[in-house]
Amino acid sequence: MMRITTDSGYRNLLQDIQRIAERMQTAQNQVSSGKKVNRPSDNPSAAADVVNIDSKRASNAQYLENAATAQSRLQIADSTLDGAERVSERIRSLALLAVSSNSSASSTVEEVSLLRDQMLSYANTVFDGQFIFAGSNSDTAAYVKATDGTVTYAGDSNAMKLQTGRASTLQTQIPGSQVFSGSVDIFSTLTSLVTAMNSGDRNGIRTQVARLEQFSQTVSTARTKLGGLINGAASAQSDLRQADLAETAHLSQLQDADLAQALSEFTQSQTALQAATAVGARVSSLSLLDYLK
Amino acid sequence: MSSLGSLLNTALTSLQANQVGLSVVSNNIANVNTPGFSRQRVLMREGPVVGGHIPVGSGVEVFGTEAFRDQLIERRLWNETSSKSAGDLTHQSLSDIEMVFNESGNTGLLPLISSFFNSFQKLSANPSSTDLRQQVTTSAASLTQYINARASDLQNMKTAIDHSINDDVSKANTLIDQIAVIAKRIHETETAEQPANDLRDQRTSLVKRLSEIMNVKELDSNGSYQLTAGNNRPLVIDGTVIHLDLSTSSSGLTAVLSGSSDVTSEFTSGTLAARVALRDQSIPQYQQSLNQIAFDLANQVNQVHSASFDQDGNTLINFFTPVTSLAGAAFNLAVNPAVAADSRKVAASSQANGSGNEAAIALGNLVNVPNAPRGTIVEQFSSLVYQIGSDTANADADTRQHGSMLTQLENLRASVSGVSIDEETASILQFQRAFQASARIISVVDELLQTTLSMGA
Repeated sequence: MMRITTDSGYRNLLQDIQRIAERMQTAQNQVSSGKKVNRPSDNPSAAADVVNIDSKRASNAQYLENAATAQSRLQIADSTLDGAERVSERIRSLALLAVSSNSSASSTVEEVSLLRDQMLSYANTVFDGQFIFAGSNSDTAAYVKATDGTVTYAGDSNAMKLQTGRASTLQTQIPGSQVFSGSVDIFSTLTSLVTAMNSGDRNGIRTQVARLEQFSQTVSTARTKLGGLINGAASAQSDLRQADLAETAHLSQLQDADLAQALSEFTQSQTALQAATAVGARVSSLSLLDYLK
Repeated sequence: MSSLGSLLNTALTSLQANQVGLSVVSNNIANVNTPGFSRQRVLMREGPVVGGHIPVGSGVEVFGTEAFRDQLIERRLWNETSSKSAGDLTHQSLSDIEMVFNESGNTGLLPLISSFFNSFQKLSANPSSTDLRQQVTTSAASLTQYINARASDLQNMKTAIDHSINDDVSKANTLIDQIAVIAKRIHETETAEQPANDLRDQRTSLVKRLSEIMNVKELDSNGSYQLTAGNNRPLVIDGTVIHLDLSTSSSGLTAVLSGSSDVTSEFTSGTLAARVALRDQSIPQYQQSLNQIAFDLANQVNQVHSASFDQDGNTLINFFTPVTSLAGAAFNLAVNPAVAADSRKVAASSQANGSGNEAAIALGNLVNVPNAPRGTIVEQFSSLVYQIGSDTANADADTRQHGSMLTQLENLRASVSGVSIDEETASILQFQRAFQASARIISVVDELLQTTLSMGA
């Protein structure tokens, strides 16, 4: 039998109380922070995983922002091209009118000139501080109108992209060189049309009408492409949101405290602490001295 | 046949002996809470037999006191004390370091790494935006400052630990002095019959306190006493003291000397060993990882950046001040001052005319690009977090284990040497009753003497 001495009784009591109090504190920390990993040593591998997942989530949030930016740019380009298509259609009907009526009222010519400027302003659409049809030269106007009225392309043929995933990028623009000055240069076409209308050159007008029709075709092809890209941007966003949901769930699994468990742990250790202190108080009050006079 | 006089003497020896017994009990009770005290008991034996025809004992004789001490338990207790204090110190220091790299709650290094790489992504959406360019340099500056600050935190902790080695050694030397003085007094006063109980208790306590600093070995036989530490480096030989000395090593760190030998890394437990291990192993390892992160970050970004073009078509611009050596990389990491001063120098373009955003995308994508064989910057950092976390968790487990073992041993020691109030109370009764009975004998003898004296009246 082991001899029990006065101080070993106290020492054991103290150690037990400390152990229980520590368990209580851990449970309390979990409840108040809502996390079971409050510092790396609580669970080193979970803490390291949390760092990696947080990094992925931060990147994904950026990719999501990029995809949204791409989508709005592509949509602006699409609605701009929609406008360009309408303008081109209007010009075509004015030109056909000029062919059939055999005369060109000066007001009609005037309207075509104005519509040409309208077309130019479409081509120089600015969104987010960028000329969206200027290719990667997006900080300067896509088309420059010289004093003699000639319009030239100042952009380049590179379509800028944004990163929308760990290994994927998405085109955010179609350079003007593939639309307004693609297979048909709309501005020189319109200049020629105005000249032909002014001089009543019906054949000339017909030639330009054919080119206008070709332009509409180009615009429509570009819009089909934009539609595909917009879909790509939209599905990239929904993929990224899905991925973020999965990451958040994983993160929660790694670091969120099970509140019910933490609370019951807390209550348990509270009961244990009460029992330990009560027993301690009773044991230390027992002494042979109490029975002697 | 004994005389009445000898009867009185016998009773008197009993009174005296039991009084000594009570004194010993009283001393035990007085020291119930004294650390290192070993309970004692009085040693009694029968008095010599006197008389001729019918031999009767001549009472009781106190020939000394005996302390209950198990030197083997004491030594195990010293070892465990060394391990426990090393574990405590390691755990406490690592917890401090852990807090330096605590990532919970959207603070720390990771959010800065993410916003740095993301700032390039944001720039890629609008490469000519001055605001976004400045955001790149600003978030880079926050990142470098944070890494610099963590590098100095680690260095400061290392320096503080290095300094506290001095404190440990001077505390140890004071204890060694005291131990030697007491060892000498034990040698002088102890006799074969009567051991110097209180001095031995004191020496044991002092060695225990020394054990907190370093693990020691004791050799105590035939009146010769030796205390050694490390690879049998003597601290006390009988009454002679061999102090530990301090010097500064070639690397500017504190070295502990015994005589002319460098014994800094000879200690295996105790706070001294824990400090040396933190200073020479754990912290340098974390510093190395942080330096590697800074080194890889600077080189990875510079490699892409210098091959790209800034807003004015300039190329061969480093984004970070070039980092050529691993040592001090984290401390020196800085944004190239030319870039910091002029955000047009951020190279977002891969075209000689400075337009486009390919380089910005490539720079932003570096967050996904591993530095073989070490993984991406974030992965390297998460390994560091893991390393620090698991070192701290191990130290915690270690200190808990040694804590329970220490309590076990202290209980074991208490079961041999500790004072039990109940037991002492029982002893009080024992001696008190014996004293009362002997006193009764004296009064009986007194009556007998009076009867004898009145016989002649």
